Amino acid sequence: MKKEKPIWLNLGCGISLASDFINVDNFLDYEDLKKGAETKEGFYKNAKVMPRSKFVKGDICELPFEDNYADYIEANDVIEHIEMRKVDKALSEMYRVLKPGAKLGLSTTNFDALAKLWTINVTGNPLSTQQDIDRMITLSQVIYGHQSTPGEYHKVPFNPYIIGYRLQAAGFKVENIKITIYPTNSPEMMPQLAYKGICTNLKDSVILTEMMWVEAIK
Amino acid sequence: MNKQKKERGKGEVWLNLGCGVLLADPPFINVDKYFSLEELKTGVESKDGAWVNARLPEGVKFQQASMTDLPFEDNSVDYVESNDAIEHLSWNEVDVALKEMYRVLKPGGKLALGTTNFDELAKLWTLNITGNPLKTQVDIDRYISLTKIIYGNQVHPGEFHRVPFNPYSIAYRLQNAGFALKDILITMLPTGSPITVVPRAVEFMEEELKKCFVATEGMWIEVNKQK
Repeated sequence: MKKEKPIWLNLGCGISLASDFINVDNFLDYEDLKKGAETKEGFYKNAKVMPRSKFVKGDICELPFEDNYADYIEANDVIEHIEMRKVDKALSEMYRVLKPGAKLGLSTTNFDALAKLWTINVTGNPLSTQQDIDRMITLSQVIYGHQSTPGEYHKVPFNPYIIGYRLQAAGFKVENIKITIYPTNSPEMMPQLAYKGICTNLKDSVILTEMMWVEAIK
Repeated sequence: MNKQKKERGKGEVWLNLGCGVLLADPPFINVDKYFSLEELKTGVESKDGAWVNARLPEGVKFQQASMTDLPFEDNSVDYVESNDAIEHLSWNEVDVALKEMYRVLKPGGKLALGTTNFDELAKLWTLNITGNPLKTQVDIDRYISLTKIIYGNQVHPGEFHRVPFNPYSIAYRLQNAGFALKDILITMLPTGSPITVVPRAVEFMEEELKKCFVATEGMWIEVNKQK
């Protein structure tokens, strides 16, 4: 009997389509992505269409998949882009689509660390050098999104307790939730880029903790 | 009081930018890009959702326009006020909007801004939310209240916050827009605003955030255009 290939979903993929994943995004079209990955123009500067990647256009709050369909779901730097009142719906959708025993992997920013970074780097800083100004701008963009496209705004803060609370509301059991601070086990490693970006710009930061990697098993 | 208010602005042009659903009495000309006057009138009557606190005074003056493209002449305005609006602009719009305010003000005219102080929001988060296991409804409500203050109440496309400010960063941006540092005055609440929208935010905060050690999460900024 032929063994079926496992179903891996990469939700809110943006312009980077991962190998062996079904990549899902509601803001983009596949034809534009393929073209963008070749031309690398403007918004598509870092676009990637990896070998064996698939793409499905779909809303994270209404996933176009059957119940108990996926063996693994990953969403990198996505849930903080969802409106406050839609977060629970999105997580419930992930729960619904996962097979029993299957894993969800989320990366997101840890607002506890962002609040501390602001207090340490920006509060009381008179912004008298260009370096101080750049640091304030970088941190503002980590908190509120870099705002280069309509999808790139952050709308909710998370920390380990909040994501734990929200995952339980979506159906996951607290004993099946594991939250770690970087480095992650993600096959994609996209968040590392964000991490490097912050490290370069915020010298005195308390980081290594501004990103969270969250795993939950249905 | 009302009579005094009216006399104060007599013969002058006053703008209330990004008014949202809280429209100020004449002589203010209220400006917002998200509604037309008709929509405002219908909304105020409906009193639901985003309109629950709506206010439409008698003889209201209103113009639908973006803060980044003000439909007023250079040097034509005596007083510009903008309450809890600039944090709703996106990063790139802030400088454009402040330049527009500078442009329309008469030399010597005053700009006043009410906005949140992110220094305090960061401290409030660390104090109230970091390490809080969210075991009680009070704790959960507190986290949700603070989330709304940081990212906006999200009941309407205009009700999202997109930029953090503190006293130094707003002063930096006001100077980029043309104002001189010596003319900038930043105070914590209570404000000198004739509209006094901002103190309501503080009352709300004090009620919702019991451990709150501040009445300084709001900033009131005044700056005159150079003569």
